Amino acid sequence: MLPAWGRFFVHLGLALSARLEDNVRFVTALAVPTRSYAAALTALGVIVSRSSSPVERRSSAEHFKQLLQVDKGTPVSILKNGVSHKGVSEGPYQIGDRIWLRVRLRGGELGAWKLVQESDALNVEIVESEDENIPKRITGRLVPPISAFARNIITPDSVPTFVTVSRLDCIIVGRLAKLTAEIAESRFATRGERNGDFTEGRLQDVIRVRSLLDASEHFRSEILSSAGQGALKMAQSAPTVVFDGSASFLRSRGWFETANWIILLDRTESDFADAMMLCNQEYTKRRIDDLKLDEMPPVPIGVDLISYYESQR
Amino acid sequence: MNHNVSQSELVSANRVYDCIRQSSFHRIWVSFPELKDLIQTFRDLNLQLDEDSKEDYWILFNWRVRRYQFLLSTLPLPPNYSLLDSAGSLTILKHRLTACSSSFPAHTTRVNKVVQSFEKLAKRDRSPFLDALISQGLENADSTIVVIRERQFIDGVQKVLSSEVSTSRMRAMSPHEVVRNDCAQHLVVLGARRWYPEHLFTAPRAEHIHLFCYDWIRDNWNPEGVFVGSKIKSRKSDAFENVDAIQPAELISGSINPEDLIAEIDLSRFALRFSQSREENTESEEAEAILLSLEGGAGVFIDAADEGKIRTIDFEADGWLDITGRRRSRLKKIPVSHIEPGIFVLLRTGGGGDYLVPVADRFLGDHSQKARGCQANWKTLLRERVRAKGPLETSIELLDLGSIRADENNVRTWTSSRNIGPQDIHDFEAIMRLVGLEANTAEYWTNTEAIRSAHMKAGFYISRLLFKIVDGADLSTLERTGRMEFELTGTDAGSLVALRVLAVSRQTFSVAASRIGEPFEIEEAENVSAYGFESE
Repeated sequence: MLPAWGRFFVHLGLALSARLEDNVRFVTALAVPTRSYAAALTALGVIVSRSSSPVERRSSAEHFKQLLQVDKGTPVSILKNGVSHKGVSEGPYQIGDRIWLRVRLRGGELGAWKLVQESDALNVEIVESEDENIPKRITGRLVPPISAFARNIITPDSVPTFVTVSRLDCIIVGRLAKLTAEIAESRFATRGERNGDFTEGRLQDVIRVRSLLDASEHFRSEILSSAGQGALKMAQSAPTVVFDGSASFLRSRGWFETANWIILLDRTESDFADAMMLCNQEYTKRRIDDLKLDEMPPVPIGVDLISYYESQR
Repeated sequence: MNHNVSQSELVSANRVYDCIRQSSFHRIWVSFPELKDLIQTFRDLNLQLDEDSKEDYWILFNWRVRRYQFLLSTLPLPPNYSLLDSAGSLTILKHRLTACSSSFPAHTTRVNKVVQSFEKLAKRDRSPFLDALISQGLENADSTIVVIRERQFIDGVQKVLSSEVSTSRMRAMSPHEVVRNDCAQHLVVLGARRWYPEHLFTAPRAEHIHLFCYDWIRDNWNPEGVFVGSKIKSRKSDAFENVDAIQPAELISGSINPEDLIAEIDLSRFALRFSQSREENTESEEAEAILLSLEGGAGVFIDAADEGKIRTIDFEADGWLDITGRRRSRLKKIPVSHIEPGIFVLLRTGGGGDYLVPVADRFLGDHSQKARGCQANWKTLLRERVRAKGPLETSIELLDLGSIRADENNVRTWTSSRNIGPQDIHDFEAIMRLVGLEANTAEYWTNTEAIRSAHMKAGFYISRLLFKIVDGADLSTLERTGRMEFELTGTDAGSLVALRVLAVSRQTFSVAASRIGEPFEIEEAENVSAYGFESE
């Protein structure tokens, strides 16, 4: 069973993610005795909570229109019978009075193409990859179905779309190696409601970090290094950002000024005092209301916490 | 491998929370009248010195006494222990006392009292802390950790602990090491709590924390690291509540403020002494540098140039794999602007700060003397020009002569001996024309390119060598003591030392280029006048 401190962080993510509001943003800062797993488990809570909010899918027509407008040579993936194929868009192709999207699936002289009609547009996704090469023979990658581990904890209604639709619900900023090990390597188990059996899995089954997935798979979150410039590319609309450690918060907070913040400060870090001071300054300057977390499990000994709302910046 | 690391991290995290829940604090007051006597006579002297205490003469005298007092207030080492160098300090203090009668006759009596107290104390061969530790009967096991604030004494303390039957299995560790290790059974903290990182008490890594402190120290401490608006306050362990609230009288005790005992010296005050070239030539080249305060009273100037990088050792890399599955190297080059306290920097000891040059010269072979000679020649001529006309006018002249990148900053960079030269032939040709070496442009350019190529080769060579040495080494000494030496065998680069950064100066200093990257010890300040390296 996940220890009490671990359950606290999961519940924190669940509770906070349920408090997203339009005109205000929340800031929650915690001083923790160790950074280990705090960010990963909080992100798990965020993703599980967000899984209850339905993914807004465009209509096939809207999506088809967007696909037709992308530059020629843009990498895409096509899902067919549970298999994802790599390809590049070659733009609109007209046959008679009908417009199709032409996708090249095989490189080299002997090319192969697939024509996609509007009704199948939702099976095509633009892949954010710099690699525009496609293989010289048609290959596909089986899209893994949702794992039993994830199925046990995400909202049942979201099961059909959880591994087939991407949405950036959360960004974690911290040390990539540590986060990767905690999210993608450590084994956990969840219990199914029906049979009560435990199923083993990784946090990644639920958190679905984009950079730890194959380009053709669908994501729910991303991890970024506070030391790298990657965050600049990602300074987009993830509703929640988890700062894993003082350095992450001190260096990267400026990139995510519109997101909701969950700040995890490890008391043993050398720049803890600086980060704590900054949190206190922000609280004094910007707080418009407290964010009450009364229904949460008790805060573990050694953890201190503030949570408040501030106006959108 | 990553899987095992991450799984054990989960277990460790669990232990941390368990440990905090169960932790208890125990206070032990210890008597040490001889040290108290020195502190009081020294305090009396400083009251009398008043404004005089800000003079260099007294700053260094005071620092020696204060440092000895502080070390004895926080280490379980006998006052006559060799590493504390009480004999050496006493000799210097007596020498100062002799000079005092002519320079500061009004203070002679007080100084004499300090020296007498020092002498009496320095004869003691037992540490009251160690005796108290033994008398408490703490479990003699490797799960009993004695926390040592001053890392350079950790090995010394470990020796002393090992030599006593009752403490032979206990381990001495820095606060940093305590965090990296698994939770212990007993943690022994010596001296005032405010001398240690707060997390030792707010996120303790042991079930029992024993606070040993001399009974004349006022140990009033409150954690600062708390959120001002915290409504859901952290539930403290019962024992922690006891230590903080229930026994205030027992906790505070003596009258001496721990802040007054801390022996930190403002290195930047002595920056001028260490910033000048060792050579006679007062016209030597200068560079803007930041000052790093390093473990064990050492310091170093680092080039503050924006593009500057420095080699560091990253312990966090241990046990992790990179994206391709290879083990991540501990050796990391980071921008100078990213240096922060706690980082371990790699420096060359002796022979100047730049360890690349001697190795590059080996790649240049017989050609090195000529190539370096040409380089020194055009740089000297350009430097003279800049000195005569200023960097702005020189840059305009160079632009008129066909240079593309001759702004003031680049001109300064090109004059530096730490820079090889412009990378664009147009800039180089303009310099050659300006300094009257136009006829030699082809030859000088060839030499510049040869030096550049040799530096690149040397850089790769040293990197490979360092990777082997640093990645293969047992770095526990570095982690424990904050300092470790490495020998670059087979090169002329000599030895390197890794040192933990304690502080980074906010201001920059004009420093002789030859002093950049060369570590110095604060003790050297006593042998260096404010205007150069002469004995006082």
